[in-house]
Amino acid sequence: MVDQETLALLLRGLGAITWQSCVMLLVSFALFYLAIVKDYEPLLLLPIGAGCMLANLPLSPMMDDHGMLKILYNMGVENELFPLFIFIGIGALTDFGPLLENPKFVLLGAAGQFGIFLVLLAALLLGFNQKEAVSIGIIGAIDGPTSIYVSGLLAPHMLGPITVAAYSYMSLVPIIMPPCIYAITTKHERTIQMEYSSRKISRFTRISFPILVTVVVGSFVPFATPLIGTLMLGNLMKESGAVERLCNASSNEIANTVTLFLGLAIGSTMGGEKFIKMDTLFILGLGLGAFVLDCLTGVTFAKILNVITGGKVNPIIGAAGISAFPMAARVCQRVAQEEDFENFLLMHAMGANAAGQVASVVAGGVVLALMGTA
Amino acid sequence: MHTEYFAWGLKMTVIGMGLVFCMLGVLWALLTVILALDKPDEEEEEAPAASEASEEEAAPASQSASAGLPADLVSAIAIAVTKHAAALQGGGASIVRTTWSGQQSNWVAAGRSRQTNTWTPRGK
Repeated sequence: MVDQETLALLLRGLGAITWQSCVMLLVSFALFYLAIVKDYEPLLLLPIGAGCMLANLPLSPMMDDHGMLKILYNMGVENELFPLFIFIGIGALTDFGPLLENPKFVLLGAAGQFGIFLVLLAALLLGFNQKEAVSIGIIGAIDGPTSIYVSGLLAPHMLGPITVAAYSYMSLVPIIMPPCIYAITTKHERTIQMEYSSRKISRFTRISFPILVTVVVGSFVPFATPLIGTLMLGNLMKESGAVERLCNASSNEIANTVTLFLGLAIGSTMGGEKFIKMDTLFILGLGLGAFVLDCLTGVTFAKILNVITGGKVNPIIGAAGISAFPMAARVCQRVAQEEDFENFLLMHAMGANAAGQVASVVAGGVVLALMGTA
Repeated sequence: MHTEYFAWGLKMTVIGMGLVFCMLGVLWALLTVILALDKPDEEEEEAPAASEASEEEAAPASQSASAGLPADLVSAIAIAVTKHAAALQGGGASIVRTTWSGQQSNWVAAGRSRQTNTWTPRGK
């Protein structure tokens, strides 16, 4: 017969189940649903869901000091290594050509970062401290790795909800962005056709761009060097054509492996007792607000450019000045075509979108610089 | 306490957005300079390409020019040649090739159109 002590040992797991861990298991199932059925950022939401599930199983040995999830967290999230590896892959996959063809759209990228600072103010009003408010505001960069990097440095205890919010809203670009555009543009503005003259960008310029951006941004905002340096390293490898194998490895094998590790490590931070708080709901709500404000301010800035240029800029492309590349540009093109099927804004929107990619990284570095955190 | 934090937040907003705009403004200026410096090479590259194209594709026009025909007549001939090529493309059955270099096939056009329209998440 099994004695009482053995029975207690066998049922120790069941006895350690808490209502918080049950809720978090449901959250992990919801993440699986979003990733598998809805196809919302599956590469990250699925590993995050798995990390969340494994971390919330009772007495999970994976969360011990020598458990896999804890090791992954210490290996690449605590020291900010994983987001930087991912940036190399993103750089190797991004074509900055549309931005080089229309350098003036760099300013649209800057306008798309207003949400970061406006939500920072809202978070302060809701009672978050300064570091937490900045970490919540950075969701407005609509850039997963930047959000992870900044919040990991400033408020590591909020990494889970911030990462989930950042990636969820990135995947909801097609749903969130069009209503924002329609809300503040007239039909006439949406039908403005922009001339596009394809400009040949030489190899010299394409190679110079990542070097130049790294030197300029790194010199003026040293805190942005890790972010911009790795992003531009990937792009330099791509544009130089000299290290095809490294470029392929960065954009495929390394990026995929690190994405898996990062997702699991982030998911492991979503422990029930830390995650189920009113703050989490605030973070999710404020993150959504940051995204909406980014779109609204971007479109408003494009409207101002439209007035300055005498009606030559379609305000829709202002919404593309965020980091969700190239999804935001494609949504802008879709909205423009809903008004006028023969209106092709895609390349202009891609320029603004590539600018948003650079601007979000610069904004991340700027907030770290202002907070005095390296 | 909240007022103090809010004042700090306002300062962050003004300085932060100011810095972001300044940084990207500097970047814009530098890119413009680089692109301006790059222009002469671009023209040099285009010039031989244009002359090659005119030799290959507009042979009748260049011959006419050498024969001393007026420029508007040469232009008319060039337009006629282009329209003839377009008519051939529409004919389809009489030729093997359905598209001409520099033009987009219906398949490519459909594919690109689909690429720009696949923004709705799968399952929606």
